[in-house]
This record gives sequence, structure tokens and C-alpha cells, in this order.
Amino acid sequence: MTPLLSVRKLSRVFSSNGGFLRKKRQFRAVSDVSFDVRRGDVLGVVGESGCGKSTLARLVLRLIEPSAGAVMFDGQDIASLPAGAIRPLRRHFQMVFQDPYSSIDPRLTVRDALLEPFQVQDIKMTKVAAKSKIDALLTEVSLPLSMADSYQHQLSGGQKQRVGIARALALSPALVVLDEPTASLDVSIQAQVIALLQELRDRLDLTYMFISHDLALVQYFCDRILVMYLGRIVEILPRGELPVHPYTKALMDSAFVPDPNQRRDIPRIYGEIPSGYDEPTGCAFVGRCPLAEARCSKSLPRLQSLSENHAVACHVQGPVNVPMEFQNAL
Amino acid sequence: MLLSVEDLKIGFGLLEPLVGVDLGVDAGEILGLVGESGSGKSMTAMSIMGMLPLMGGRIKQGRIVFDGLDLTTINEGSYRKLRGGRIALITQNPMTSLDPVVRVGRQIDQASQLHLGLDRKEAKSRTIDLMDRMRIPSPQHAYDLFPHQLSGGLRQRIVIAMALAGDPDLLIADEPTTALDVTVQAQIIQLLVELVRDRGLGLILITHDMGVIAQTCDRVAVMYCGRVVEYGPVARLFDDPRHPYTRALISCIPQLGMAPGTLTGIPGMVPSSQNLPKGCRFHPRCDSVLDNCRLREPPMKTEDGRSVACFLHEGGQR
Repeated sequence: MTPLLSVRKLSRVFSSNGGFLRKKRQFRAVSDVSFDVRRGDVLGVVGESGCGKSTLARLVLRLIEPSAGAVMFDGQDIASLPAGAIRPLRRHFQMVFQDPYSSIDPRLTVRDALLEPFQVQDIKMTKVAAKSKIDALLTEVSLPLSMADSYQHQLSGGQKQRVGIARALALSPALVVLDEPTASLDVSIQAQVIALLQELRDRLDLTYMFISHDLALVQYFCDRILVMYLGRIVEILPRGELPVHPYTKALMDSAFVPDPNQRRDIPRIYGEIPSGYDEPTGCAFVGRCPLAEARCSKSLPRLQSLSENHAVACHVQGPVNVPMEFQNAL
Repeated sequence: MLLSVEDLKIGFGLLEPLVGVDLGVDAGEILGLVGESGSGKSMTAMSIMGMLPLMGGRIKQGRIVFDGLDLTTINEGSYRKLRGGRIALITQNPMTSLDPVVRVGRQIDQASQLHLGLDRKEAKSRTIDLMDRMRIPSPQHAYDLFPHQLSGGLRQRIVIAMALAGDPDLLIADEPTTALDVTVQAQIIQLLVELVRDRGLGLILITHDMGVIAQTCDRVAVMYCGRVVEYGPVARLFDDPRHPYTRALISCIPQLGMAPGTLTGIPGMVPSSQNLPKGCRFHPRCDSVLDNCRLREPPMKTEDGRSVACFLHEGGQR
């Protein structure tokens, strides 16, 4: 079966406008990213801020234009379609935004916010049909029906995010991109929302692309995980497999285990993600990597398969393609 | 005890956002305050910092004893000598605690000039020393930068250096890493832990993350709706959580190797202080409610070093 979403060599470069005495600079937000999402899967994308995960989400939904590459959605390249041809397709792929406070218009009631997608798509409904649709959507995300007349400011963070999810589901999409949907919520509410998303996926046969900075959460929720660093994929990891790339390991070690009997020294990597301007010639992680060798700063490691679903881009930990007899020469 | 809060009750008009808060922290010790947003963690910090009058609140009952001195009895002038000097606060968003138009080094200087009476030159060398200890790369250069030129992690290090500049005995860190990336969060938490262990500071660490608590604290106070519902040493609290709310909070953390569908969260949400439920404040969300819970508020019971406010443990029975 063809994957629902196939991304090939997708890149986006932002350039800052040069000016008097100022050089034009290029920022590579996403470079050469390729992956597939199978129907019914949850693909996780993890990385720290500035790694390009939100840009990737926006590129996949073509909310911004790619610089190069293809995004095949159900066999159609949505990266190269003219803008006018995209709009009718948008009902098949929707997004839930990170900040429910700013993604819902404060002057709309929940009812109006949920009816917006239908207006955008020019879908005419009778009043009765609209009411039953709203009721169905609110029930879907376990909100009381009376909430339809509330305004955004009357809801709690968790309720707002449920409205955001209901709005994304309004047009029965096949793919939902979730951009850190729980980042601004309490842990208790985060767990509620994740449980809801899981249930909706099973019931409505959805496919998710789930973006987060929390590796433990992504490992809990997703079938496959893309780990990004400075615009590139450094590892593609199936659920339940141990990470190989030193960056993924560092992310995993940075998680705080809720067990005081398993205390450990906390950081194993230092520093922060470098700027995306002036891309290094070698591996972008070289400055923070505990295993860095001379070759790491000279050439860019390519993403290579370890097994069918697992791939890693690392010179040191990656698969060795050199025949055994020459290995000592390296 | 370096600081002890005894039976604290505060009021904003008729509202009482904190009731019966009892906790303590010793030098060289980390006390964790944990709970969802709206549970009163930050309000507790504000009470200790003496900021309530500025916010329109007041202390209705109880004492806050810091190093033998009852802070509820002193005036604003004496409080000013303590604040930033012997008691320092680190807030969640470093950008709001830094002045955007003053070089970061000068901002750290100000605290040591004010509280330690250093002249400008002494203050600068102390600042550079502090920045170096916060592992800020090339402190001589960073001294002259403005906050917007630094990354989030570096800004938070500057704020910590600022808090330490007055040589405090007690540090209150209110969600110091919530705005930061995971790898940077781990570095900042590690830095705070080292400060406590090496310099014998007392630290009150406010967070909603039970993972951070488990990895760093010595003692924990779990707060819900303005009350401390469970209080005790960290290992015993995690091994045998007595209050259903503590148990629920721990189970909200996704862990490696958890089976899908096992993370359920806590149903409902924290009620607002205008609209508190009758009886135990947690009973509408609790999974083991007794009849008594709907009628009366459970009192805090202390038993061999740990306390819990729950009818399930009334009189020592499980």
C-alpha cells in the first residue's frame, strides 16, 4: 500500500534581506528531509527549538512554500500544485496548533469557530445540520454541548485545545498534524489530551504527525520517530528500539525519570543548538557530541539504514559499509 | 530550619487562595513544591518573598520564620534588605526578570553593590567570577551583552547569577526551566543542585513535573487548590504515595516502555478559588472517594515524618 504521506528531499531556506553594509544571509530551516507516513500511523518529530520541526509541519501542509523537494499526499504532489488547486484538498489534511490561546479567534463563540472550516471550504449546511454537526464534534472531544455558546476566554487551556482538535476534525481529514498540542498544558491535562488523541485515531482511522520536544511523550505516543537537529533528520527510530545517534541518546538522558531511586547525574551534553546561519560542512552536532572524531567536522553524515525501519546519520555510530579488512585503515 | 512556614493562610478580599500551608526547608536542602497550575505554588513563593501587599493580598494567619525572624511582622523597609540579599527568587521567564536596555553584567553588579556594599570594580570582578561559575562561555565578553543577544539558557544562567550576587541563604526557583529546551533544562537543574550541595543554600524548587522532583528534591510538598495535601521525604512519597492526587500526578508522566493507553491523566480540572467544591477539594476528581470526603475537609495528619490530608489515612488505617 502506498504511504499516505511521502516527503522527498524537502528543503526550506529563509533569506534575510541584505541592506546597506549588510550581507544577505541564508538560514537553512529544513534541509533535505525525506520520510514516509503510513496510513493509520503516528509519526513523531522531536528536537529542540530551532531544529526545524515546526517549519517541517508547515511545509508538509504547504502553509509555507518549500524551496525544493516534493510532498506526496495520497499520490499527489502538493508541493508543486498551484495555490488555487490546494484549497479544496486542504480538508484532507488539518493542523492543531501549539498555542490554543492564540489559534482561536477571541471574538468567536466555540460554535462559530467550529463552523469556520465549513465556510472556508464553501460547504453549505442547513441550520439543523450545522447544529447536529457541532454537537457531534463536541461529543467527539468530550466537551459538554452547552459549551458551544462560550467564548475562548471562558475556557481552560485543556478545553481550548479540545476545541482546536474538534476544529481540525470538522472536515473529517485523513491526516492531522499536531504541532506541540500539549506544550502549554499541565501534565495532568496533557495526559488527558493524549488519551483523547489516541482514542480518536482508533475510532476515526486518522494518521497523525505529532511534533514535540518531549522524547518520552513521543516514544509513548508514536509508532515511528524522526529526530531532527538543525534542519536535518539525524535518526528515524521505530517504537521500542534503543536510540543510536548520540543526540537522541542525549535527549533521552535529559528526561527526568519520576523515580527517586533511579537518580543519575543529569547532563551529558553541554551547550545549545547552534544557529542555522552558516551551516557547518560536517555534522551539525559535532560541537556538542561526546563521540566526535576528526571526520565528523569534515563531511556530512548521510542517513543510512540500520534495519528496515531504523536509520541514523552518524559517522561514528552509523552502520559500517567499509569491508572489515579496510576498517583499520580509517 | 532555615525557613519554616507555619499554618499560613492568605487572603485577597474574601478569597483565600492559600489555607493551612505548613512546610520547611533547611540549609543545603531542596524542597519541591509540586501541583498543577492554580494550586498555589507561586502564591506560596510570593508570600515568602513578602510580595503579597504589592499584589493586594495579606497574610491572615500563620507565621513565616526565616532564620529565627518572623517575616510576617517586619515592615517593607526590612523586607527590602532581605529580598535579593538573603532570599532570592528566580522566575519562570528570564526575559521578564531582565532589563532589556541594561547590559547583563551591570544587572548582576547591582545586586552585589546594593546588598554587599561593593564598589563598581569589585562588583564587576565578582560578577565575572559568578558568570564563570554559571558556565557562561567567555564571561568577560558576555558581561557587556544585552539580554536579547543571549539564548534562553544563557539568560536563565544570568538570572541565576543575579540571584546569587547578593549571597543569599535561601533561593526560590519558580518553574526555572519551563521555558527552556530539554537538554538545557537538564543543565540548569544540575547547576541549581550543585549550588545547593556546594554552597549550602536552601532551595525551594517549584515545578509541575514530578520527574524533576524525583531527580532533585529531598522533601516534597504536594499542593492542590491552595492546600498542602501531602508532605514528606521524596523517596517515601514516591514509593508509597498516600494521597490519591500524589499518585495521579506521578502517573501522568510518560515513561520509556509504557504500554499505549496507560497514560490517562487526571479527569476534570483544578477548580477556581471562587468556586471550591464542598468537602475535600480534590473529591470531584478523585478515584477513591468516601462519603466523608463530600462533607468535610480532611485535616492534615502527621505520622512518622510525613503528613497527608486524606480520609483514606485517617487514624493510620489504609
